[in-house]
Amino acid sequence: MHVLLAALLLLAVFISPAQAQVEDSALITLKASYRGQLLEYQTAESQFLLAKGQYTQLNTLASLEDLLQASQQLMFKRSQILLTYFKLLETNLVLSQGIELSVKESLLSEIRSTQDQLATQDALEKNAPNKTAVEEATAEFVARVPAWQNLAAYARAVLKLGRQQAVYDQAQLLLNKTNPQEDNRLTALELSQKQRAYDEIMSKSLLAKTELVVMWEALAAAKAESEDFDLNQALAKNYATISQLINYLDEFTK
Amino acid sequence: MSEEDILSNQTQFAAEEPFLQNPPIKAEEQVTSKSKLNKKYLFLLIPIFLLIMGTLVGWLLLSNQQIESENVTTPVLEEKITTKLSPLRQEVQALQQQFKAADPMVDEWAFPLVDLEAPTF
Repeated sequence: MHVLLAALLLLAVFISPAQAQVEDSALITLKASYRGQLLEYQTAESQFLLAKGQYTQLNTLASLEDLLQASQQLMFKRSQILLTYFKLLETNLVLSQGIELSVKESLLSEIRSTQDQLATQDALEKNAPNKTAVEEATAEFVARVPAWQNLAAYARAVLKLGRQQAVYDQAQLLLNKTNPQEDNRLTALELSQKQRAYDEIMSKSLLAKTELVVMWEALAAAKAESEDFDLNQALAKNYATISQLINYLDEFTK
Repeated sequence: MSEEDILSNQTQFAAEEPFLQNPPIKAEEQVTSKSKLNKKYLFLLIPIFLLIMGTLVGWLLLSNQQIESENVTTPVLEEKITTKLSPLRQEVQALQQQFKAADPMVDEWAFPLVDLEAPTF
């Protein structure tokens, strides 16, 4: 059943040709693998709960052994998911445009270090010989979780802001190509009309640029002070500004 | 009682008179009259049914022709649209697509929904 579901998910990933064209093939494979692992985790979780129930009822050595194995399997699946998740973030970052190189490199280094931690953690949990060792390994895992969540939140914010920056940069390139001052075919009247429209677009562009700078600065400050990276509101506001900029540009180039 | 007495018995005659005037209809006759009615309806229903079927078939044929003609014309129209677009317009359209993909409200990198606590025994 799970194999069938995983196959369907794989199919769903592969049948969207537009997405496949845009995304790197490594990213597609990782996404499919991630979804498959989530399904495997659900199975492991239900087996763990079953083993736990049996141990509570029977309280025998055999049921304790079953519970130990089920919990090790559950932790292994969990580590696998997190490892793939951070690989997904890494691949997305590598492919992303609009992110300053120093920010990108620093973040990639942190993500790779987290992947190493997860791999070590995985080995610890896998090779735990008894109940006490399993408990120690999981305690270490739990202690590291907040740092991983924090890093993931930062990476998500950087990726979102990078996408917006890339759109802005592209719009700016197009604006440079459409400068009416460089069009010799226009009459004086046409030129003045075009110039007024162009100035309006440029004011929107400047607004978007300012907001982007403010967001990058806020993100860097929050990272330095280990604060939350909730940029959603500011991102949504600037998304509206960029939307208007693109609409103007669309109208201007018709 | 003589035959004359029987014929002149008015009480008996009055009692039997309704039966003599309206003789009871036999069951066989009832069945034949019903089947005659059914046949009449059948003669009416068959043309109506044929008319409806004819309309349906005609409508299906016409809609199929329309779909085929749309299929033939769409690629031609698309070709015209793409060939008419200048490089600048194409770049603007690509930018619009890029913009749609940058919606900050779509969180495609959400942290995995797994239990991050230690499994308790």
